[in-house]
Amino acid sequence: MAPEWFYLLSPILALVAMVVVQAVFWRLRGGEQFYTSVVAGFLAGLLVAIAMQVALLWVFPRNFDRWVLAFVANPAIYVMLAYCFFNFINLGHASIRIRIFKECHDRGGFITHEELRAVYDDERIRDVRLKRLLDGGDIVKEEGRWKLANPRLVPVANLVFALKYFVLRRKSEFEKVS
Amino acid sequence: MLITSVFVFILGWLIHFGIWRVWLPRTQLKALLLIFMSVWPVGIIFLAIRGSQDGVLLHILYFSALYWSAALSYVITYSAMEGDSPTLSLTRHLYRRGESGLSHEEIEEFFRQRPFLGARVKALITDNIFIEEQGGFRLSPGRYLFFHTILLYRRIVFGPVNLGG
Repeated sequence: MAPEWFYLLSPILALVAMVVVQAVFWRLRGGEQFYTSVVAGFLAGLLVAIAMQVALLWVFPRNFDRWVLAFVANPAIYVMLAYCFFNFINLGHASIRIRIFKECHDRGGFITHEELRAVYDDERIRDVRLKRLLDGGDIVKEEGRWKLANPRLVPVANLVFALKYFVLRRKSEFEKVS
Repeated sequence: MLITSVFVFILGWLIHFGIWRVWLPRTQLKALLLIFMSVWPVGIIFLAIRGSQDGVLLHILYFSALYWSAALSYVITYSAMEGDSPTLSLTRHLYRRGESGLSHEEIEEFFRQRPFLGARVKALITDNIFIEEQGGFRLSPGRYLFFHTILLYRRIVFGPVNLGG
């Protein structure tokens, strides 16, 4: 294999490390701490990317220009691939669309309104979200009122809402496009 | 190659933004992917014509890796923009309420005003995945590789799908 191909392998190997470590971490924790497992996987991948970068400089010292190029491009590729992977597993975890699809597919490709309501409804969506936020320490219930305990998701929410308004000119899917 | 990736991605994004300003496609994610797919060869052709001492193929592969990781990241972010996330919407709403928070009745009202299930079913119909029939919904003929891959991975790594949403 020509040396230049090793430069491109770096972000792919880093992603493989992320996938493996996330899955192993999740299993070792007995199916708890989803977001912590993602962060652990991401950091493991980052370590692999850094190690590969050092190794490439060591093994191919004459290709310094190419190394600099890879030094800039590889972390960017890895971070974006990691973001895609996180969203991929998060879809299986939290996507309403995937869940409805599964319920219909499991019934041979047809689901009645009653069956859909029986397995899944807006109340269940509300309860699952509240439980997930509660378990994750994002919200608390104090004296009968729900409050934000950890604002870590607020910047993400604000960014998504700002992008939505900029691109789609609307604040919510539940209002008409202005 | 780095600059080419950035420029071609921006070109694709500007085309998407321009089209969205005058007309919102019915299946937005498919349209978005089609735009990024159509713009991709511009970078390949540019790099092939320009040539390189390092080898054109490597540059094209690097460009493609950068371009597609950026394009897919944007498409994923767009899917979060297209429909509201119950979790993010609720978090933002709670943040705005500050120390006073929300009573359980107010939370119920918040979700009543946002019928997420109906909105997602409607999206499945719009995307031609569901066909509305008398008494329910039928899955359109198709292989749904993306959905099955997500569900298979979920089953292998995370166990049975019994919560979701």
